[in-house]
Amino acid sequence: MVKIEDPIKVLSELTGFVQAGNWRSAIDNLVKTWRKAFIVDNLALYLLEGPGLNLNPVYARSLGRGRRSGADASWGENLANKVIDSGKMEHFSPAAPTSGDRISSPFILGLPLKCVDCTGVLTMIRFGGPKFTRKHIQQASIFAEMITNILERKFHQDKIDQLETVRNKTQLQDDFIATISHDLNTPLGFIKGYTSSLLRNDVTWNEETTREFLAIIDDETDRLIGVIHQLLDSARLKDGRMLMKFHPISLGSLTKQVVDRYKTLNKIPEIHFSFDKDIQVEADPVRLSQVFENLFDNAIKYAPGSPIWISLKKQKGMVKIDFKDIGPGINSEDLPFIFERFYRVPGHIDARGSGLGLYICDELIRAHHGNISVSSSQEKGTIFQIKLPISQGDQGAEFLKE
Amino acid sequence: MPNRILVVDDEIRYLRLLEANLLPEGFEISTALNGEEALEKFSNEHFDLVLLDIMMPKMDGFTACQRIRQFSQVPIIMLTAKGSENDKVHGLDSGAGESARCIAPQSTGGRNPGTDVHAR
Repeated sequence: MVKIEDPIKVLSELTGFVQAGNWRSAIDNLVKTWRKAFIVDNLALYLLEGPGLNLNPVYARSLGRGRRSGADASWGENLANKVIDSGKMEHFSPAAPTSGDRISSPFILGLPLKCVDCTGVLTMIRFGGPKFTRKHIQQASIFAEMITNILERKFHQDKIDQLETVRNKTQLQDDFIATISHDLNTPLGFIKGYTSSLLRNDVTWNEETTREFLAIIDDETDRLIGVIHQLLDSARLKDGRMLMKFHPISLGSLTKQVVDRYKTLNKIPEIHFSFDKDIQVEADPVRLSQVFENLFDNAIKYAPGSPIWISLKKQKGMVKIDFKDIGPGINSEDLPFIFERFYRVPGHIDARGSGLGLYICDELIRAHHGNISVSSSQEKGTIFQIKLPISQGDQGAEFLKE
Repeated sequence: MPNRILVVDDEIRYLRLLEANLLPEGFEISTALNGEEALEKFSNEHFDLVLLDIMMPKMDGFTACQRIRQFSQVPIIMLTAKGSENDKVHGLDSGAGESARCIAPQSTGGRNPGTDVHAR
């Protein structure tokens, strides 16, 4: 089976072959060697750039005589424009020198550079001569060809970089769409499959099986609702369009409500919740509850059978919430990515789950001016830690000043 | 002798769906959650047909297919929710049946995979 390599990858490899190092140092090296056989004091490279097609200097070196004069000395700009206009080699010899000052007698040679993506001029200046002879001009033209080659490489590299950026972006979008499709289609598939099965004319299902199927349909419908909510939340958070209503709430009571709800669900063997004193935080109670619920749901999924410990502690104007389990823990390789959108720990038993839960938690906590972090090990389990600023005053308008 | 079918998929609910729909047709169904389990069952029992999911942990469908092909010419139908051309070719390449059919979960309930099997 013929395998075609990725053209961008191959193009990159080809580019690497031609010459390592960036184009400027390539030209520096060329010029340095060239000067062993050719007299040149100033050398400049102009390119036609931008929508207005301006002739811009992109490279300039002062190498010989006139080095100290710097910007005052000639760089051949006027001649360069002439070369662009005529499309041909141009040269300039100064009128007979009146003073002994070399710098005021620049002999200038301008050579056109043309490649697929660029039009430019290479100017060479000799202060006080010698004059550019025909032979000199021939030799300089060959040199200009080499410069053109290097520039072509530069443009190709730029193009490759641009294409890579576009390709990465497209890849992310493709992945995003693929994940959404999968997460929506999976529960839908089951709902459709089990419903159609129940409706089959050629089979009579007994009551037990009928109930079994209906329970699955019910459960998958809940999952579908959950996925849709998560997708919408994630999209709103990403675009900064989630409306949250903040007011001072009692963190202890809010947490206790969520804890009690999960206690009745009976999916977690023990939930231990403790705090010294109730603490007020500025929060949207629905969204803050959502964060805790998400942590509980994850614990049920990824640390089944493990008890949970939740503690609230005041620490310098912040409240620290620890959410701990003694499950199998999270691999250190996955730990840095766990709050990323769509990140799923690879190869996990539960193939379902869109990887949005912790991303949403992270975004919601940030919106509450707090932060969420995680520490985990195989031996000790996992602790999610949320820090939130403590609310000041009844109005709830002011935040932590420290 | 009823025909025996081995269904391999990492989603329990999908296994149950296929099993429930194939049993009324008079097939004997055995299930496995991944490629490894499938090979284990294969070494102990005889099957007339294998329905094999592609995306599975521990050993994916293509690998499992190749492994089964090493010692058996049993008909194999690959299952995938995606069903791209790439998957089809890969399936044929791994030794699956002459047409690696793609059965998405949505279409299973309505259409009876049993009749497809009969037709072969």
